[in-house]
Amino acid sequence: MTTNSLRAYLQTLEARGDLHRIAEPTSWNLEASAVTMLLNKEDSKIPVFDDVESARLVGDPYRGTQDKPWDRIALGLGLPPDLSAREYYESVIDRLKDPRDPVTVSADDAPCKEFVVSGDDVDMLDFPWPYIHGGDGGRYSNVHTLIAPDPDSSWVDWSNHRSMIHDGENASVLLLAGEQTPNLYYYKYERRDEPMPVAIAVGVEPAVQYTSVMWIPTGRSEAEFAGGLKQAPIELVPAETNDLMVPATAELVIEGEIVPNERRDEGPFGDYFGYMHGPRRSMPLLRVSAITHREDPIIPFCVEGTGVGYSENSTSSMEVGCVGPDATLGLRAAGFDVESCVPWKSTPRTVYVISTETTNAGYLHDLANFIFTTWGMLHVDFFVFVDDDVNPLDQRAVIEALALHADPDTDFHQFGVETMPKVPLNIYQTPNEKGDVQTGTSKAKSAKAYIDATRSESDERAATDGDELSREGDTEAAYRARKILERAGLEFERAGTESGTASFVEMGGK
Amino acid sequence: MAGNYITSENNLPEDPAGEETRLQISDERTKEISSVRARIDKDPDNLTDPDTLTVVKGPHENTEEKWYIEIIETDEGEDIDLELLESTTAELEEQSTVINTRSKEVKALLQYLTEKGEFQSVSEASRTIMLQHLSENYPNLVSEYIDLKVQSERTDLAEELYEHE
Repeated sequence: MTTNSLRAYLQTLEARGDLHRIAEPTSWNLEASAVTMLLNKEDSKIPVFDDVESARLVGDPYRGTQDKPWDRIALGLGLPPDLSAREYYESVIDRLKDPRDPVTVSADDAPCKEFVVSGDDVDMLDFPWPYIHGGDGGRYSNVHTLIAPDPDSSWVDWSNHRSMIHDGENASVLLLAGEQTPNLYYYKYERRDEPMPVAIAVGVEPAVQYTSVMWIPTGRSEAEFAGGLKQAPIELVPAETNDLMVPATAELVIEGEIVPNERRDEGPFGDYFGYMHGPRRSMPLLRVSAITHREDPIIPFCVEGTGVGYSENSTSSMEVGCVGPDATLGLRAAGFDVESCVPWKSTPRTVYVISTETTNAGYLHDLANFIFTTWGMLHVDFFVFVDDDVNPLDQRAVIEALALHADPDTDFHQFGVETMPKVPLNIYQTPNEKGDVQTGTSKAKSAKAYIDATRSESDERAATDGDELSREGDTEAAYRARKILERAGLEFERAGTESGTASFVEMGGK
Repeated sequence: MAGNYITSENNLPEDPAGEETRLQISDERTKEISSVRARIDKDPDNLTDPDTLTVVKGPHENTEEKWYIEIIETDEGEDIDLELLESTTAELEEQSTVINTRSKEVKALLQYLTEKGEFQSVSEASRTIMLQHLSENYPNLVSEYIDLKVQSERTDLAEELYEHE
């Protein structure tokens, strides 16, 4: 079954008893985000705020559960939410390998055109953009699809860049050079002193949102991959005030242009590292030319900062549930024999774990070299390579691999000392290291690193020999111990001995 | 506008107390961000109609200082009459672009700057100085005018291309 809209997705959640409908009036000013934050921490249902002045809000709609961060994302694709990580990753990869062209529908058939406001009537403050953290520089839209065209080809990029609403018709957009859409703006449009036509589609259907956060290669269409994920074409409709095509079932579409050589304050913002990130920076200015929307639109938002530690939010779950399978496919497509590439669950854009069958040093170096030089890698600091029988989502298993197999002398490799691009958001960076706050681009540079936590041949031999010796003795000893304890009155099932020694060989077998 | 406002220390000039300055502030209640011309001071008695202004500072803007602000002019006060701007611009298509003004003082000063080599001619001097003044004091008007010109040039180009199809 395909899910054509955010509303259809929320109805699916509601039918499963997985939605909190909050009917009482809620303020966009910290209240909706505080409720969402609490539910994120409690691993509870998804909140829809039905009465927030003129519209509705949904807090972290794609947050997965703490056990299976991909489960609600799977629901958005019509997949069972109880798939193991391995099954889920392979299902998504299969779909990404089967992209489908989008189709164009008329404005009459596009729900996002139910209301069209343009020119002087445009007022973004007619909508309840949430003020998410005390100390944020302003109100934000941060779960959306930013649509921007390459001026030199027919390629149109879809991405997700947070936007701070300034007033009725202006916003500043976090564009950090090094990523696809920011590069179009800084290195093409602005250098030619031309405005970049854009649309921000808010409350899009799940497959569109998922591809907006994936690392789709430059020049390739997210719309086609979204069609693949959905197993049906994405419906697009022409924008009102520029030549872009926008997702027809979006809740709301902001049209406009990001003008050259103009900057506005952006931030501070409580970002995904879990702390209040400042100071404000100068970022490009979006000037709005039209807003189209559905009746009583639903605006999704993410309480960034709650996706660290044990809790999940939309961003952290989409890292594991969308970026992970996409990155795995990307590495396989580049010829690497990886089992999976998985973001670190509790700080999802900092560390990635890659499980791979081939583990010789030269191969791992080539793999790291490919990742660091071919992909943007603004956010990710380092990779941990583990053997293909280690579940990369099981952090205990990864730490165990690090502790047992990563030799501090030979297995920690620094890469591109002081020369690699770096997003200026990490808490370990000083303000100076984050670069000049007046520039729109990031000047921050850092080293990257990778850790080889795969078993070496000698580890392998020792482990195998040790296993054979201990298992034989263990079986006998364990049987005798069990009998003694049973005679002493201990009930084994309650003691949880079996689950405590269960193997984690199968990825995501929880 | 009335109420409590927030700005960053980064938005303030070096010694802002009592000076008239243009700065970006956000309304604490609506979170609307606007650019205003204002005077600020730590002592409300030095201002005519003071509102509170929280100045945030530090790497994460989590240190606060209490100031006061007297707003002289807001963005909203500078709303541009687009119809008037369009008709004025259109009228000029058929008219001379010469600006006539009589002033011995202005001409003497411009003549001086020209003879000192700062400008090539009195015309260039008057054009440059007036545009500079307009940009600084009527930024919204200049911005709207530029948008209008760009739009009009695009339309002309599109029409030309269409005719040649």
